Amino acid sequence: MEVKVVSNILKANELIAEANRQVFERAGIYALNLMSSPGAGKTTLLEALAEELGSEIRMAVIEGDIATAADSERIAAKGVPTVQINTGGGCHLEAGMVARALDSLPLSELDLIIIENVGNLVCPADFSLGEQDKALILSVSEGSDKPKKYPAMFRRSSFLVINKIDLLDRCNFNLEKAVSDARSIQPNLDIFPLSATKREGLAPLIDWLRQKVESIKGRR
Amino acid sequence: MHELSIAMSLLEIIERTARANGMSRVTKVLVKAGELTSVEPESLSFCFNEIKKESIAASAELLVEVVPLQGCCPVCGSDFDIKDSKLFCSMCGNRDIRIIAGEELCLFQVEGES
Repeated sequence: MEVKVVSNILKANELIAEANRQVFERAGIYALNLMSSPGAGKTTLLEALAEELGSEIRMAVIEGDIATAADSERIAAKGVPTVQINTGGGCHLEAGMVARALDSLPLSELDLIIIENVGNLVCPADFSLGEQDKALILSVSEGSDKPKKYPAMFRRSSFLVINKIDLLDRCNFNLEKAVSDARSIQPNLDIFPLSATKREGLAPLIDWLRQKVESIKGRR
Repeated sequence: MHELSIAMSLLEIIERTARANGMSRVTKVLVKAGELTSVEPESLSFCFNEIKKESIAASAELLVEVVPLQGCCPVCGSDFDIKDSKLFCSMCGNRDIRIIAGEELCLFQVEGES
């Protein structure tokens, strides 16, 4: 007996992601899924954003890591509500983990939730968390060949941060090529070259986030 | 190792399908995995063969067909194959294309005995 099924294998995750999306929408929260390789600077960028935006936008962070609460402690030190998810070996966050994390956040008091995914340039792209946008960080020490090697992550992102530009003269990174390769995969990609550690070049990204948060709040 | 969680979701759908169709044993399963998904067929088979042992699909063979990327151009209307991550229209050069195949991850067919 042969049965044609055509059933989406990731459906279970997508149903929970849809429920998360509705939670964000009802609360008027802009949720961003921040992805990158390990060490590209996700947590450092979040520290910088907490400093710059924390007093103006009511933000929270959900930290995904395989182990330890080191990252959430760094963010919490900036006075931002933070929930740590430890995936215990899992290489990406799934919607159910985020749903549980949302239980411990004061949703009615928030405008922005940034979800820091597990450092990985492969599978986080496949698992929706219910976010409005996905964003990607590529650091110059990783090399400018990454857009071509990991197209799915670039294709599904709304913006790309090119981090550690203060190291450009010490890394063999072709900024022009990285930008044009990333745009050939996703023409609508907004690109922000910056240095999170030096707090340089953050303004355009902060404006971008501010606009997103305002447009969601306007719909409340 | 995300293939393990994918294999578990897959087995769940297979068990549901088999029960709904009165199968006593699943013999073959066909999965279509788009080129732009992060599924590695060998890892998925490895995980599936580990977790299927106690199930209705214990002796099932898993076939994973990788679906190549295909695009469609909203400007000139042509369909084309996407090679080497060149996500633009190969006919008119338009860069804002739609992906019509290669992003899916689905269970396509279940074969079994009643």
